Amino acid sequence: MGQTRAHILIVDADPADRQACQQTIAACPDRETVFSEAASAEEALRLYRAEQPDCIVLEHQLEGSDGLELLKALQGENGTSAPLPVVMLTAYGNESVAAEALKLGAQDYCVKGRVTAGGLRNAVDKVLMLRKIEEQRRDLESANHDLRRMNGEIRDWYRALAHELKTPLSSAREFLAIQLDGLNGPLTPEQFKQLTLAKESCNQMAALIEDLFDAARLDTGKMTIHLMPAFMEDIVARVLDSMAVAVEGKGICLKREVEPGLPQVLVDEHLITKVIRNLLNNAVKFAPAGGEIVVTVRASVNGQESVLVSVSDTGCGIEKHHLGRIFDRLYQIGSDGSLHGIGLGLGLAICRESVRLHNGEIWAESEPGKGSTFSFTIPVSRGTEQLAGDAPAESV
Amino acid sequence: MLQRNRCERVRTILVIEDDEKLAIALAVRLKSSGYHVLVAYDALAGVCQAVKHEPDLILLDIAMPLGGGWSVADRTRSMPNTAAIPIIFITASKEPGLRAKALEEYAAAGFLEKPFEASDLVSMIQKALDDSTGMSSQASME
Repeated sequence: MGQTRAHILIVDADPADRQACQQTIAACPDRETVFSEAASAEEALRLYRAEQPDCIVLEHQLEGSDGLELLKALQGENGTSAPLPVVMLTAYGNESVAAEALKLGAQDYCVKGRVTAGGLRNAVDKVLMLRKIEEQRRDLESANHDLRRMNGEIRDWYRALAHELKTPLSSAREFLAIQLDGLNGPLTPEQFKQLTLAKESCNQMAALIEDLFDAARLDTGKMTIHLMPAFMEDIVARVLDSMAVAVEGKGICLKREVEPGLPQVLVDEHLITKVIRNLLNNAVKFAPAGGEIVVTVRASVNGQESVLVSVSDTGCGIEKHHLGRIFDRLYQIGSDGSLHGIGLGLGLAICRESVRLHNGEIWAESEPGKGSTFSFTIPVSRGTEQLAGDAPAESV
Repeated sequence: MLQRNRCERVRTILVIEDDEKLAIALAVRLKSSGYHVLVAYDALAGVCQAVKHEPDLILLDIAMPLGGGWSVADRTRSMPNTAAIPIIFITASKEPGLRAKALEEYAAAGFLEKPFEASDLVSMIQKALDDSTGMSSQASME
């Protein structure tokens, strides 16, 4: 570790005491120390303003004033909540001065004539250390402020980007819909097929824009959730029904395993639908043609009573070192299991935040070559249990 | 097939949307659904058209130049001849509270987030016009 530098102001009416104090403090081998001296409060204040010393060693007895008066003046100068870098020197038997000095912001005190050289050095070291910590705190605060501002700018940019993308997308999609609905005359089967693909692409882009919005809102804690009692298996069923054609169209077998008699949970159905859809889309991306996806809904008592949803695929699996970061924003795995996939890399990060908003947990298990299972839980609350009791018994 | 009310008048819809392409697409869709369509590309032109033509319904974008959708709603609602025209707000924004503001504060007949399905729009317009016809015939009976 390199030598540190410190600038110390010694305030004492007695030149011999100032000299002795300097020699004691200068004996520290790890530090290059520069000294200034003042005999009066007035001179000390002038030097404090001009030189901003790292530490002030302040004797109570001064020419024409006293140390406590100077402390008050220094506190006025300081003007911030930062501690005053002062070690007070008091006479033996004058502890009330020491107590008052500490109250006025001095960091430590030593009793003159009684303190050892080591004791004075320790007190000065302590003040220098506190000063350094304070400087670092200020630097961090400033860096934090800058980060918040930048975060706000990025969030606004996300929002503006999403807004600006949505309007042209709306018109493109609507013109395609006009053609597909035959408003400009009948289409050939080939035209219909191609325009349908174009409309699907628009829908895909709309979903990505939605992800951008969600990411921006989750970043800033502006995502609001509207919790309603619901049966998780009903939500899963609706998602699977809406995606069944697309999944089976890829030659993938989609299975559902639901434990009967599950209680209701309090969920934001819109958010949880997105989570399930996202996990299922990923499974479809990873599962090979002829593969299998199993969606399970069951009770879980891991820590707290919850309903667990898991989506398992028979894809290539994920390497262990990717698993820990797979829910991080912008972290993507390609369909071959390698880093860098297609898309924005926001889907799983949004899933994680959405589940967290429900006080649930989400995780992934995988073994290369054997597929992956993504699971999340939504806790069953007492209120929900009550609601479950009120709900129709036959709901699975 | 033209959309007529009980007096067999073709219904007029004023589309106020600053994105020209989307406005054209909406006009094509609504014309094909049997409505007479007027289009304005900013808030000021929208208010002028509303006052001049007194449409049966206004399809109103929220973020627009020269005042924005809220100002169009404020102005039309403040004039007796346009005060009762049902408004459906459309927006690409996801700012929280927009839907509630439109439906509660402005008593909008509908709120749609872009991009929306044309079928949703058409059925929302149909319902708004039916409701408004029902209300005005009820009012005339009273």
